[in-house]
Amino acid sequence: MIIKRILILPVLLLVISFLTFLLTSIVPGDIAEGIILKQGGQPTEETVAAMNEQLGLDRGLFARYGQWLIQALQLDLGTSWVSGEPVAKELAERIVPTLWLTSASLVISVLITMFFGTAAAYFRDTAVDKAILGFSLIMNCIPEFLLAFILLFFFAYKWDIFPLVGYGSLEHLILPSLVLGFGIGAGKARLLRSSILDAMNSNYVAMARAKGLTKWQALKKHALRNALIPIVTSFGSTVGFLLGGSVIIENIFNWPGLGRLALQAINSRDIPVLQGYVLFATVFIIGIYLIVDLLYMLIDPRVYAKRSNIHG
Amino acid sequence: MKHPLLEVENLSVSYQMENKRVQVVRDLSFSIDRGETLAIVGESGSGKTATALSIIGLLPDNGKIDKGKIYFDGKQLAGQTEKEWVEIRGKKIAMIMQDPMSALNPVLTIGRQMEEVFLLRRKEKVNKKRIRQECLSLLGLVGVTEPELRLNQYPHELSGGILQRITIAIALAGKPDLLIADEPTTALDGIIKKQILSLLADLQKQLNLSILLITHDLAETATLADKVLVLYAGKAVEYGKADLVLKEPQHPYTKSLLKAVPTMDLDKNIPLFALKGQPPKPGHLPPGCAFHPRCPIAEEKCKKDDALNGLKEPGPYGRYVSCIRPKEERKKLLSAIKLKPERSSKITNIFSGENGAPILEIHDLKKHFKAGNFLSRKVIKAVDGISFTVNSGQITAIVGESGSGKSTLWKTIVGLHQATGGEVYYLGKKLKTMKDKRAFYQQVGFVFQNASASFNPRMTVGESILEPLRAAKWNPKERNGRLERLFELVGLPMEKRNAYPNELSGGQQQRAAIARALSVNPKIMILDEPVSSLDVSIQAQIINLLKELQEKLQISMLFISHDLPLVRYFADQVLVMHHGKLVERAKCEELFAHPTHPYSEKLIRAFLPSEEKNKTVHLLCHSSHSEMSGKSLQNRERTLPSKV
Repeated sequence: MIIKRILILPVLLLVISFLTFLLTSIVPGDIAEGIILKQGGQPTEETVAAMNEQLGLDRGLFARYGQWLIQALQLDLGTSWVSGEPVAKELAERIVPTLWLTSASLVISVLITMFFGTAAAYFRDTAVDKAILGFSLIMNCIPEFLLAFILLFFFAYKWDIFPLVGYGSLEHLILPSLVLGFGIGAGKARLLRSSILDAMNSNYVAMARAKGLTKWQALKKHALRNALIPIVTSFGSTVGFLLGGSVIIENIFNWPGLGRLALQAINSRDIPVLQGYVLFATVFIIGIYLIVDLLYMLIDPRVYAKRSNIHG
Repeated sequence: MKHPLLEVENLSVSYQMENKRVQVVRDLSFSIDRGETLAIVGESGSGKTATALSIIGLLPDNGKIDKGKIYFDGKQLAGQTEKEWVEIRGKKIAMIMQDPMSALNPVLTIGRQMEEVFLLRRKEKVNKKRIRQECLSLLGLVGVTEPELRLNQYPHELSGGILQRITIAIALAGKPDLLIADEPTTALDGIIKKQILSLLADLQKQLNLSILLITHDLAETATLADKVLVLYAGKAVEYGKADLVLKEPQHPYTKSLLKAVPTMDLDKNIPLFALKGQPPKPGHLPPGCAFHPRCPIAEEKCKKDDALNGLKEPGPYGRYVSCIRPKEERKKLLSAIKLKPERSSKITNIFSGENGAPILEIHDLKKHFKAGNFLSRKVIKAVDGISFTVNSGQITAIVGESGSGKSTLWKTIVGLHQATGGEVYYLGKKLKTMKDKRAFYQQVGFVFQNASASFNPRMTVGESILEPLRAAKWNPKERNGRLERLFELVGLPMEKRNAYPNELSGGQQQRAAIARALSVNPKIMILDEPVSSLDVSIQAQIINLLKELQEKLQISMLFISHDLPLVRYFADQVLVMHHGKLVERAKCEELFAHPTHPYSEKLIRAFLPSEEKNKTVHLLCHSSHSEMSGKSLQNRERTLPSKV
């Protein structure tokens, strides 16, 4: 099954890269004209033609795609139309900050999920449960930018504990990853809570209690592991989402991540950068799902059996 | 003074439901001695599980013991703190559950789940090797083969019978004095069921174990129990020594239940004895004696609120019957209840059997599943070359253990599985094109085991029943007319058409499912375990209904079941399946009188009386084969054992 996934990867990349390539013919307006205007020039017939030639847009779609593909196979993703830098280099610069932010928010959200989800389930229907549910509902509903501004106001402006915005140190990392981590963790905590409660109603938990395990032991040893199965899937898609870069948070905190790069590329119609970005995101997301599948096999022994056995 | 191991006094339990408290157990008293088995018998909703859970302190959060005392070894359990309970559970009182498949954690190995019990009990450093030894010897005790291997396996790799043995081993690990067995064999097949019951009986003798058996199965009760408590709507209706209660039931409910159990000596020409009506839902009990609406001998007095007041409370060992009719009068009235005479219509005999025209012919049907990965390919032959014919108006039963391929067979016939090989002829015509097949599938009505799951919970019953007609493009007027007719046929009141499935009782749901199956006017119906999840008293109603429909409408039926007494009563022709092969095919009477294949014989024997504990077993399933054995031995086809 994993081999199948890896084999399918090139096909998927081919399809997705071609689809993004189509963008150049779909975007409204003339790309060359736009770039000339942005650079402060006058779009005359000659300059536009020159720019088109420079960008290679004078050739047909398939010819361009073919050339791009050959280069991409040699790990050359072309050069940015705006900055003139190689796309691969631009991406590489942005990946590190994105990885930092992703892993920090992931750690925070996993901690929040586990702690709040388990506590709420254990203290079901008590004040603790209700407080956690209420808190997570607020966290879930509050827009990211609002939470970001609230945290910035208190922690950076009023009390001056953390730097306002920017990138470079661990302290810069804390506020943006808290904003992302809380937003994600709150939603998943609710999911984990109901998943645990389902598991607590199962026969095997009743059996575990009858063996003499306390409610906490039964939850920890029996319910939790089963309850985590759906949560792992949902974290998989979240990580994919985070790796794509969260545009709003990166913009507020002036974080030089992939999301901002993508946004800039879209604004300036920097198609090579955009293509490079999409390609990168595809590889990463497929990779993440592969990891999720591996985790599945680790958590749930039935997965392997299910895929290789059909019960008549 | 010697006191019983468990003594329950005036136990009342209630559950908090949305906005009211619902009493599920009312004023219950009983006791169990060391080494003794008490069976609590009752239908679903009778409060038997709530009773068991109160004794082991595991009532759900919305459940509460309102009053009453539970003495275990002289110690009061009701109202204990959680900390005290942990000392009791698993160590003094252990429990096994109905469905062994779900009672074990799917993500942990058997070994991990067994060790846990030992690890729990010792605070000091534990000797892993010794624990492993103990696990192995426990598995040996309950008769699990290859115990070493089992410890490293996961539940999904094992069969229900082995899993139930393992849960018993886990329950015994803490050396409990009392084992609560909550429907221990309900999810198991006949042969396995019998093995588990005799295992429990053996263990009890060996370990001087007391068992609280929660069951709805009277045959199981007869095999295992020393004492019986019959519950109805949370109240004890009869209590006493098992042989007395089962041999001479004194309460009309006990008597009716015993009569409703299908046995191997049922007369095929007489409708099954069925209790009228439905068991009451907890929280909606009728006034007075809760049984009075269904009671054959109820009188005006029974409906009064105080009907059962002033009846003598049970002594710890004394027999107890809660009925206000005096004993002698009751006895006379009960023995006077006559079953309905023979069926009015005798048409059935003209068409059934081999006389009707063949409606469905199956030739060498095969369904093989590929399994395993590319390293180790396996082929599972779920259905392996099966041929048979269903004649018009004939009931063909398919029997066999779970995993024998019964369900795969019918699913392959109707195209839910793509057949690997073989042909299906419908009305003499071979199904070749997709069009042929689709026309055939539309002529088949389905009824599944779990009626509630086979209905879309967001659609009213009426809509669900009419759906096939809408697909077949009937106009609204025709549809409505049809619906009325269908409701009448299956005995559902018309006002239920706008009810949602969860508003119907189990029996009504199955009636609605039958109505849906009949809506397209099928020539053939497929019934996959249609009554096995229903209570005994309801089961008989549904079987009678099916038989009546079959006679009225001359529908052929394919009846998949593991309940052989029922098959014997219901079917005309029986197919015995084993490992995907047809091992025996015979007319019903012939098969039960003279099974030729050893496997058929084994299956049948699992339903015959055993010599476990009580002679009363014979009362439940003594068999009178003699009367049928005289019939001719023609018309049978058999696969010889050597072919398997």
